[in-house]
Parts: sequence; C-alpha cells; structure tokens
Amino acid sequence: MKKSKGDRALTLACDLILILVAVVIILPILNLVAVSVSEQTPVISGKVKFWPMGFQLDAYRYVMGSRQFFSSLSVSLFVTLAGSALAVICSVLVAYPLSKQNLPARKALLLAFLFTMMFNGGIIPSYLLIMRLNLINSVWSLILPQLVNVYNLLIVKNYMEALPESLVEAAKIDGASQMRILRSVVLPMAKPVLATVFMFFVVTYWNSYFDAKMYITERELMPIQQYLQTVIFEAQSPAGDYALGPAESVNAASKSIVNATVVCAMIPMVILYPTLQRFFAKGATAGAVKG
Amino acid sequence: MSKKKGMSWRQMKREGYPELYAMMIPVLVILFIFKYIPMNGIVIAFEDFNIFDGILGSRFVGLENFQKMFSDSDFLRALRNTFAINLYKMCFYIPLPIVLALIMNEVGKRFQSAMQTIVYLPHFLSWVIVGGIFVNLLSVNGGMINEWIKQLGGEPVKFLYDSKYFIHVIAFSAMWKEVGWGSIVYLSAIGSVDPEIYEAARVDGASRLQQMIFITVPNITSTIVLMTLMSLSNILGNSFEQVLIMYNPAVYDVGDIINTYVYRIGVNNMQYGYASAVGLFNGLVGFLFLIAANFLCRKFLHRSIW
Amino acid sequence: MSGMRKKQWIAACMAAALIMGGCQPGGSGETAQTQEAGAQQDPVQAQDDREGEAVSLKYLHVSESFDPETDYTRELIRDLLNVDIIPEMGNEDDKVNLILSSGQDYDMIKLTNRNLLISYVENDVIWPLDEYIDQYPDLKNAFTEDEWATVTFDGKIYAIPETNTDDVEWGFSIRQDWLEALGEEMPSTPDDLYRVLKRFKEEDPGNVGKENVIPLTMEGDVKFNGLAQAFGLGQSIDDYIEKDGKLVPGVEQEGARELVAFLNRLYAEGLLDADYPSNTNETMISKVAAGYAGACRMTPWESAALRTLRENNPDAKLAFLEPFETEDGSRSIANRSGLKGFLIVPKASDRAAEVVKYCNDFLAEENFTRLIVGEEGVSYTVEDGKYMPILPEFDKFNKGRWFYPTNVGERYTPLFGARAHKEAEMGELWDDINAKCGQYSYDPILNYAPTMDGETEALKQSLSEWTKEKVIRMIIDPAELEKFDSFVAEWKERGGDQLTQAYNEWYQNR
Repeated sequence: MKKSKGDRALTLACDLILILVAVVIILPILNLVAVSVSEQTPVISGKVKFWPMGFQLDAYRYVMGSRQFFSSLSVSLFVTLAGSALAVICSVLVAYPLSKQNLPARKALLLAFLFTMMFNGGIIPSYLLIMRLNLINSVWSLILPQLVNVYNLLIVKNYMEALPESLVEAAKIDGASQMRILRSVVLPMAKPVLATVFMFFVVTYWNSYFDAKMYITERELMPIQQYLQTVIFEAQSPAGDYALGPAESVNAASKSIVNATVVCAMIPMVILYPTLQRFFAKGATAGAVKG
Repeated sequence: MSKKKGMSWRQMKREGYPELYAMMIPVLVILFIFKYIPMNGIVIAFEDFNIFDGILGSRFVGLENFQKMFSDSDFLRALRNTFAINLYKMCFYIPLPIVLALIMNEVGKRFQSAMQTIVYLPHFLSWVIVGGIFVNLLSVNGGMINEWIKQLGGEPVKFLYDSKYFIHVIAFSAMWKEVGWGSIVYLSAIGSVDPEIYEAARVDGASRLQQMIFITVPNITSTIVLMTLMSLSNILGNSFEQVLIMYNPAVYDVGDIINTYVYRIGVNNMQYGYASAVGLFNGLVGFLFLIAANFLCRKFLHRSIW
Repeated sequence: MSGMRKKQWIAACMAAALIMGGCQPGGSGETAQTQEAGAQQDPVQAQDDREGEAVSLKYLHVSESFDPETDYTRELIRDLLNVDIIPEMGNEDDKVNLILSSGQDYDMIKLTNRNLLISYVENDVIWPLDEYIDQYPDLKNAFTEDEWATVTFDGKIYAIPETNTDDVEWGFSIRQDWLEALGEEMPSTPDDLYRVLKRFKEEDPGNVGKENVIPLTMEGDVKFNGLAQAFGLGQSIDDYIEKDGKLVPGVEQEGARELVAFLNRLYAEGLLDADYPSNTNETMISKVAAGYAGACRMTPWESAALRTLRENNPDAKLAFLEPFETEDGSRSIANRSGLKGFLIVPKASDRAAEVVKYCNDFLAEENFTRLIVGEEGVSYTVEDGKYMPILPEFDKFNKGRWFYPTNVGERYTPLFGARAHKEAEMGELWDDINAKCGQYSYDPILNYAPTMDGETEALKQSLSEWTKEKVIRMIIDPAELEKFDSFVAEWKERGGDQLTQAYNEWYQNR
C-alpha cells in the first residue's frame, strides 16, 4: 500500500514546518537552561547564548539544597495529585449528566456553572470563607476551591456529547444504572479527554501560587511555587538592604539561580506529559463502535 | 434539540435521571460553597469598601466606582488597548493551534511525540521568564534580532519602544508560548475520531490532505467552537503578566491594559471598591461576549455551549 | 482507571489528607475571637512578672527563603533580650489587612507601606503606643521629632519607626580608565559629561568596537540623583525643593525643562542607551559588566558587575562621580535617610508593653552592636574607623535583619559597613560612593513627611506613574519635548497643585 505523491508531499511539508516550529520554540529554552548552568562572568556579561559557557551546578544546589525545597515539593505533589484526581472525578460527575440533551433543567444548570466562570467575589470573601471553614494553613484550602473548573468541565461534556449513542442505549436496555453505564461504557471511551483534563488540572494545581500566598503562612505547608518565588525574589533583590543576596555565598549569578528555579518548577510537568500521551493516541476509540 | 416538555416521573426514572441528578449533588455543593457564597463580594463593587467594616458595614455608593472608572481617560485608554490586544491575539490564538494539531497528526508517531513534548514546554514558563527572553531578543543593543538586521545592512528597529510594533510583539510572543499547549485539546479531539471513517475515505481514494479537510476538521468543529467561545469570554482578561513584563513607558499608549493600569496606579492599595468594580466590569463584558458569540454560533453553525 | 480502583485511590487520598491534617503544628488556623476581647483590655504594665521565662512575641514580616526558627539572630535575641520571637512570613498588604480585620493574634507586624498605617489608625485596629514609649526615654530619644511625627496621628504614636541608613545609595559611575586614555578629568558639570560621552562614542577608548560602545546606560526610571540637583532640582523632575521657606515642585522650575532637554539630546545623539526605556537592573548591569558601558547610574550593590567587569578586563576602573555642579559651583546629592519601615501592634495582642520594651532593649547600647554585628575580634573588627567582617563567623548574621523590630539609621550606618565589606567589590564601591558623595549629601526632605490621607497618597502614586511615562517619552521623542509646557500644566491639574498644597501645609507648620 504505497502512499501517493500528494500524501508524501504533505507529510514532508508537515515535517518541515514542525521542525521549524520546534527550533523556534526550543532555542530560548536552551538559553534558559544554558544560563542556569553557566559560570557567573559570562552570565552577568550577558554573553551566554544557547550553550553553557563554563559550567557550574551551584545554582541548582542552592535551589534544591534546602530542606524547604523537599517539604514544599511533597506538599505540592500531594495537592496536585489528590486535587487533580478529585477534580477529574468532579468534572465527570457533572459532565456526564449535562451531556444528556434531554435532561430537564440542563440549561439552567449549565448557566449556573458558566456564571461562576465570569464572576467571582474576589479575594476578600474567599479568604473569609476559608477562614470560617477553619482551613487557613490547611492543604485543603489549596485543593477545594479549584476542584470545580468550568472550562475543563465543558471540554469533558463536549467530548461526551460526541460519543456514539448506540453503546449507551444498548447498556440501558440491558438494565444498567447510570453509574454503571458511566463507569463501564462511557469512561473507557473517554480516555483521551480524561487524560487531557487531568493534565490541565495538574498544571493548574502545580502552578498555583496565589491561593498559597493568602492561605498559608507556615513554612512546612508552603507549596513549591511559593518557595520558588521567595528564592527568585531574594536572588533579585538589591543587596543593599541588609543581608547580601544568596549569590555572594553561591558561585552562580542571580540569573542562573532564577533560571534554575524555573527549570525545577518545570521538570515534573515535562516528565508527566509523555506518560499521559498514550491516552491521546489515535484510535483510542477503535473497536468501540462495533456491532 | 428536542426537549420533552413535562416529563413524567416514571419517564424520568426510566431514563435514569434521578440518578444523574444525584451524581451531580456533591459537585453542586462544592460549587455553591466555594463559588457562590463568596459572590457576596460582588457587592464590594458598589460600596466604598472598608475592610474593617466588612461588606455589610461599608457605605453603599451605588455606581460611583463605575463612574470613576469611566471618567478616567487613562482607564478608557487602557480599556481600548485591552480590546485591541486581546482581539489581535485571538486572530492567531484560535486558528494556529488547530493548524499545529493537524500538522502534528500527519507525521510519524515518534516524531509527533517528540514534537509534542517540545512545543508545549513554553507554556510552563512564567511570563517573567518568557517576557525577559523576548525583551532581550528584541533590544537595540545586543538583541539578537537587531544584530541580524544590522548584519544584513539595516538599521536597528526599536521593537519595544515604538507603538507601531508593540502589539505585534505581544501577539507573537503569546503565540510562541501558547500554541503548543493550545493544540493539546485539538490533538485529543482528533484522536477520538473513529479511524474507520478514515479507512473508508482512503478506500474511496481520498488523499490525506482531503481527509484532513473533509473528515478531521468537521469532526472537531464542536471543539473548535468551544475553544473559540471560551477565548472570547476572556476578552478582557489574561494578558496582565505578559504586558507587565514587556511594556515600558514608551508604549503605554498602546500597551497599557486595564489590569496593568490598575496595578500601576496602586488602585488596589486599599481601594477594594474600585478594584472590585473593575473586576465586575471585566466579568460582565466577558459574559456578554460569550452570550453574543454563542447566539451567533447557534444561528449559523447550529451549535452552542448550552 | 476502573471504578473500584478509583474508589480505593480516593480513600487513600483522604486518609493521607487526614493524617497530614492531623500533623499540623498549631498554626494561626484558629480565628481567635480575641478582637473583641483585645479591644476591651487596656494593658498598662509590661508583664515581666514571669521572671526568667522569656517573653514570647509573635512576629510577622516579609517572606524569605530561610528558616527563621533556627536563625542565629533569633537565638541572640532570646539570650540577650529574653524575648522568644515566634516568626511567621508573609506581610503583603492584602494579607495584613485581612489579618487585622479578622483579629488574628500577632503581637507585632513589620510593614513598609505607610498608606496602610493611616487606615489602621482610622479603623482603630492597632494600639497607640505613647504610654509605653514614655516609659523608655532612650527609645524616645533614639528618633527625632520629625521621625516620630511620621508615625504620629492626632498626637498619638501608633508605630515604632525604623529609619534608613544615611549613606548615599544612587550615584553616577564612570570608566575611569577610559577617561585616562582620553586624557580627561572626571566630569564636573553636565556639559563636561556630554563632552566626555561624545568622546567615548567617537573614540572608543576602551577598544570594544565603536558600535558596541554605550556611553551612558541607565535603568528605565526617571530619578537622577546627583544630576538633577545640578539643574536646581531635587532627586528627580517631580521632587520638591525648599525655596524661601516653602516647598516648590521641581516640575515648575526652569531646570526641569533643561534637564529633560539635556537627556533628550543625549538620547538623540546615541549617547544614552537606546534601550533605556526598557532597561532593567539586570540588563543595565550586563552592559557594564561586559565592558560596553562608559558610564552608568548605579548603586554600590552591583558588586557582581564590577567583579565580572574586572574578569573580562583586568585594567578596567569603575569609579563613582561626585555629584554634578550647578552653575554656581555647588554640589549636592540626596542620601537615603528617612522612614524605612515601622512596627505595629494589632489590637488583638495584649503584649504592646512587651513589644515596646523589646524595641527599647534592642536599641540599647549594650545590645545594639552585639545583635547586629556580633563581638569585636570574633565576628568583626574595626580598622581605621571602618567596620570589617570576620568570615565565616559573620555569616551567622546573614539574615538577621529580618528580625530587627526597629533601627536607627545613623547608628546603623557604620555597622552596615561590615556587611558592605563582605564582598571586596561591594565594600570598595560603598567606600567610594561615600567618599565622593558623602560630604555633599543631604537628607531628602520628603522622606520625613508624614503620611497624608488616603486620597492624597493614592494621588501621589498615580501622579508619579503618569510623570514617569511622560518624562521618558519626552526624553526619547523630541516632538514630545516640545510640549513640555503642556506637560507642566497637566501635571498641576492632575493633582500636582493639590500635592504641593498638602506638603506645604505640613512643611510650614512644623
């Protein structure tokens, strides 16, 4: 089965475009990493381009070397994984019913969700609520408020609406409960969107910063982004105030430290995505619509 | 969409509806507690809010905060800029991720995986970093782009200080950062299209290009519509961090957006009423856009969010 | 994930959460209903009757990435002053507002934003401290009347001030080796500067390549301490100067137009960095460090720049300039003295007396030096009247400043030298700027102005942002410069006049 000429040309064109895009995107990131491991002098002189000049790992040692880094990391891992798992479940529990076109009050419910996407009361009432629920300095203050995400909800609902009705009908005729249908029929078909939305939640939770800033004052509970911000803030603050910045005891430029922090914050995501990728694969629904 | 009016309880039970409602209850509770209860804060926009008197204790001033907003010429300028910048960004942000997803769908699997991993990386960098990178790249002294221009014999271009170029810089850098991530949703949608349809088309002699245009795209239309509407609803939001890092006083006239303006003049400094009014205004405009866009979609494409 | 496994997963998560939740140390999660209680109590005496037992004070300050609980300075405070600080981090404006309005029980909070202070006074959420301060004459005398006035409202003192050191922070520096190669002296007047910059550009005395020379580089800001004074202004265009017993705005002086025109000329002729509007501290430093910049506006804290510059070019000499001369030959430059921060005691606390005592003890002769730089011969020495650090002992004090409840600038300045000299280059630069500019320095009057009402403070900020935008545009665009007069008129209308009036009300009634 040979590919036609037109097909080959298309594939070639796509290959080239992708390579170009990848190059444009990766070059600045190379610069980022290069600066994080380059020696002070070239970094401060602004001479580092895409490849490290000199080599040092002090910046990374500085960022990861504190006890705080690891405790923040574990807090964030917990919040992210537990939060994302719960959030996906919540999305599914609402997206499925709302994907049924005939459900009474469907429109009203949707609007109720949509409304919260546009309007919110701001930090003050949110803070007061968290305080009244006694969740200040609790990891749950970082998880609960973000559990319901309308954007992701709509993505899942949209996907479910496009699934073939026939299987669902078949299961219903067999007398299955909705929960059963959801679990055994719909969810297996929905793997791509679940993986997508899980990824989105992971990113949101992992990157979240403002919640922690307001609700957490205890250092053991500081999530990773908050920790990293304090590192960046110190690396960049003028030394003249008091204690000289970290750079004086570390053999790395402030910029290297900042970049090392950024890389550290990025790595978990970089590892996670390929793992989830197989769920995005083509043909995830292959075989579903037989018979 | 046919809606059976007035379903009987028996009918609903048969369809399994009570169970569906029950499914939603826990989430509805969370929605109520964490999203609706704090909405009492919206009242702040209509008050001369004093944090120590609380929401109930502060003086009600009606639309005064809004009047203040609209009589401030700098605010109106920021409003105009916000629209301009976000609309322009959307011209790229809507089609490009789709195109990228389609392209990635056409290449070999391993190549595709590697590419995916690369193109979404910038999404994880904060604008503090990305903005810094672009500012460096585009600066007159030592910026790489201008170095190339000089080598080719041209005059250095003041990308960041000339109001002409600024909006393009913002749009391009935003694209650089988000196009990869934005394509994820589409890739996932493309992945769910039944391969049998492609098989059938191929047997009928369709080229891959034709398959792309006539099968893939129509099948992900609902996703496209959804994403577009979501973007529109965010018309007044989103660019704060980016613009804050990349703008400078030389381009405030086109670059100062609502959130940077509010930030700059320290409005948040105890002026919660005003800040809340701005937030409420943003939300309202986004909501109106969403409804309008949804209406148009329903009329012409027969699809809608609800 | 199948349903069963999902359920197990959820159960596991919840279990983990419960365990983690249970493991929390005390924390401020409890909404102490002490706001009501605190408002009724009126403690008068310091509760020192727990002899021997350290007084514990809960303290909130800025977020930083070190562990305050194990810090050496915290130990010192406990040993020397018998005070056990319970440290917490995170003093952003919004957060403190919420903390105070919800009655959480902090004993002292360190802040720098004066707008907050007036709001807290008006809403009666912090303790007035007069009756305690009066018990400690040393503390009272540590600050001048003007300094106390910055934290006084309606005749009552509501916070303990912290004043800044009185060294000079910002000045202009120049490549002295370039000057020597050209046979030039250090420029004294703005015209000298212009001539020298032009020669830098045309003759490239550093041999870095003519297209690479950046004669003068600055951060994208509109403060020109050391240069603006040469035009008869304060630190910047919109700074105020004292004239005939009044405070007059710089904007309305002839010198303002001349200064902007001067800078415009520099920019137009390529003598001022083309990237000036968007320069950050980092980008500006990289130009100095790479050896491309001939002159720059900087602080002594850019020691990394100097060190890197020397590595790139061992013969390079970077030296600070004396402030530029006015037409009648006088020089002046502002130092950075004035109110830096302040310490408040929320009404939810019943330890106001202890807090004040702590501040007093902190500043006491026998404690002050010891707390800040340690012991002579152990962590510091004094050479030629200059304090120098002994490493690595001195490193224990790295983050100590986070703990200081208060500080007296003039007393701190010499001790600060020990910190400045931790790095050879920083010490060099600090000594240099003070040698060149110290004799001409003055206390900037506005740093001693009291906090105005909320509206005026907001006005100050929006006006200064607007001015920054306008001035930078006038510097880079000759067409804008033409409209200088309308700039002045608009400045006055946008609140400049209002501000002038407010300042004079204070100034003339001191």
